[in-house]
Amino acid sequence: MENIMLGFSNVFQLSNLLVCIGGLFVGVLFGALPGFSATMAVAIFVPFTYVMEPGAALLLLSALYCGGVFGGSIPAVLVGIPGTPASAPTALEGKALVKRGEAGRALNLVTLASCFGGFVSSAALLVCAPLLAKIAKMVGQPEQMFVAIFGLSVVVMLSQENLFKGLMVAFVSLLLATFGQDPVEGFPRFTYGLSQLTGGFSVVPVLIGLFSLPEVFKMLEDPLGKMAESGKVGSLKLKLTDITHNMFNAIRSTIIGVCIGIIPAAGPDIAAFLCYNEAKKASREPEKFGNGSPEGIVAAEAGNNGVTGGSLIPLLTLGIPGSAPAAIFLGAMIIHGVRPGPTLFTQHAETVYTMIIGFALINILMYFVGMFFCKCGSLILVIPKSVLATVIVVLAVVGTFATNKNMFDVYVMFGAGIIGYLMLRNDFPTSPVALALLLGTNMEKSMSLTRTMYEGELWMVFSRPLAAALAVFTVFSFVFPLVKMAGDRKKKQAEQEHKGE
Amino acid sequence: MKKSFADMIIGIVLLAFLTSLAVQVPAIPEVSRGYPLVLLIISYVMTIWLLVTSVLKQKKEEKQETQVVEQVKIIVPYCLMITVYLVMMSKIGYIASTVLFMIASLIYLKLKNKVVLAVLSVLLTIILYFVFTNFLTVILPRGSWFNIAF
Repeated sequence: MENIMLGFSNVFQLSNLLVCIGGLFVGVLFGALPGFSATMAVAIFVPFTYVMEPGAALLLLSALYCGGVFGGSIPAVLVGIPGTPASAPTALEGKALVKRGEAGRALNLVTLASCFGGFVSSAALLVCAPLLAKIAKMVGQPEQMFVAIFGLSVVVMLSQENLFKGLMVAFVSLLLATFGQDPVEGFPRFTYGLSQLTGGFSVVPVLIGLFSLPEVFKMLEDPLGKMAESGKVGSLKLKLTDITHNMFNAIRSTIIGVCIGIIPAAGPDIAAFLCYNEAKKASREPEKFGNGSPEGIVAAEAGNNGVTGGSLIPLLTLGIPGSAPAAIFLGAMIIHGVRPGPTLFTQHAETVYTMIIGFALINILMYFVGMFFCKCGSLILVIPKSVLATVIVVLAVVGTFATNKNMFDVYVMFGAGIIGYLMLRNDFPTSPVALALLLGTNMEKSMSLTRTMYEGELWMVFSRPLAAALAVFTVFSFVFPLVKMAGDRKKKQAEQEHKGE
Repeated sequence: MKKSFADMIIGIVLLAFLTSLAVQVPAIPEVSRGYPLVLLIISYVMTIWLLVTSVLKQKKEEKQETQVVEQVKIIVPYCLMITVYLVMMSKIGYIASTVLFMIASLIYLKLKNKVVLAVLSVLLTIILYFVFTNFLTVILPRGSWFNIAF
């Protein structure tokens, strides 16, 4: 309780409030620009946090993350282009409401539902994370090994469309994570004789390059184009029934969103579609879905924002980054000396509670920032791509340089950007790179120490209940997506055969 | 261009990269070698598999219309521009190189409004310079030929 109060007093300091509001403005802007994302916002602004107190730094990243997830819904309503995949159901309903001249009502609903989802998810973070952390205190080296492997199994879920390429990227990236010194013995490896590689690749420059430059290169393919032509916003007023009819819908969708967030790799897009689907099933007027249903908007938005807090639960307690933004969060926390894991809630209680309480406040402030953007949202979309592309390159360069104050990192970032673009264009997923670079060193270290602990009797690892349970989860997380994929393939085949007949 | 052709090229480049790592393995002490060696072997197997399947697919696959040539024409010069920008940063300093890069980039990407072009290039560079040097205490690159600083 004392820590919660400490978190409250930290969050309500003027400087931290300004950080939250500033982060929200930038985050919503990034989310609102089609092609940009919450991940990109978090990646680019990590270097700006270096001189901040850890608590303030995490507040800024949280505001960018929440703002980015919400921002995607503004173009979804105004122009029917989802800023992020998670806003696709909103685009479907928003488009119909815009046609009826109710764009303002749709935007207000989006903002309210997003804030509700985000706020409840932060409450879940506050309640669930410390409980899970108590269990996580039983974690030793063998358990850490399985946690790292479990974290990497996210790759399987992230690359369902091209599993082979996803796994290949993960293995090569794990190899890249071995560059520099051996984490146990300290011997240098794969340095190509370069002193800059003695410490291995710095993760943040790689992530900045991987998640920002490919979008710039994509913009160059049509530099003359504006983001989109948008419709008029109109009145932002809501009907009373919009709130009363959607209370249960919002609560159900948020709970689903939080649960989806806890599952590694199942991000806001899955939550949005799942909640939309559930709302349609439960609705008294399912025929309105697709034709401008407020219920559809509320479900999708409460669901995808519910993920934000949920996705931080495994990150804070076990150090498993379940998504690309969470992976960048992990990188930033390590830089600030706040290592996620079982001891986080005791050793860095002040920082972590500042972040969690801040997370709740950010979701309240998001309503006001969101309404501001809703009123002038159409202006964002007329910024020419040439300006955006140039600004992103300059920000990425200066941000990367600030990481370790050397040009080598900037070249690494640039290289990662080019490789990221080639990967995107050739259907190689980029998220496994982030996961492998972040979890690789820890995995090698825990494997090596576990081998030393159980020399010759490695099977004894399974006598530890938590290790055994984690091993089962790990196997399940690898096998389940494969079984599901096989099932989906069979279904498709059967459908095709049925059509053929 | 056939889609599998791109996979084939990626496979060849990856194979060359993995070989450059394999050459360094004997220099690593045995105690630190095991884990990367396992990863190296798995990566080799997967890359060879990608290469073989892409070669086999190439024979069956039909040519698809892609905009690769058009994309390369825009992106390669832009990448060269960024490379020059990064190299010049240590020669003429952060401020001069960034202003020049922004002007060149905006002209290359056909921004027509000359006022926006000039104001944005100078203003953003100076704002970033002040934020990083004064608030974030980062000393941005200084030029060896000449340097503009405030």
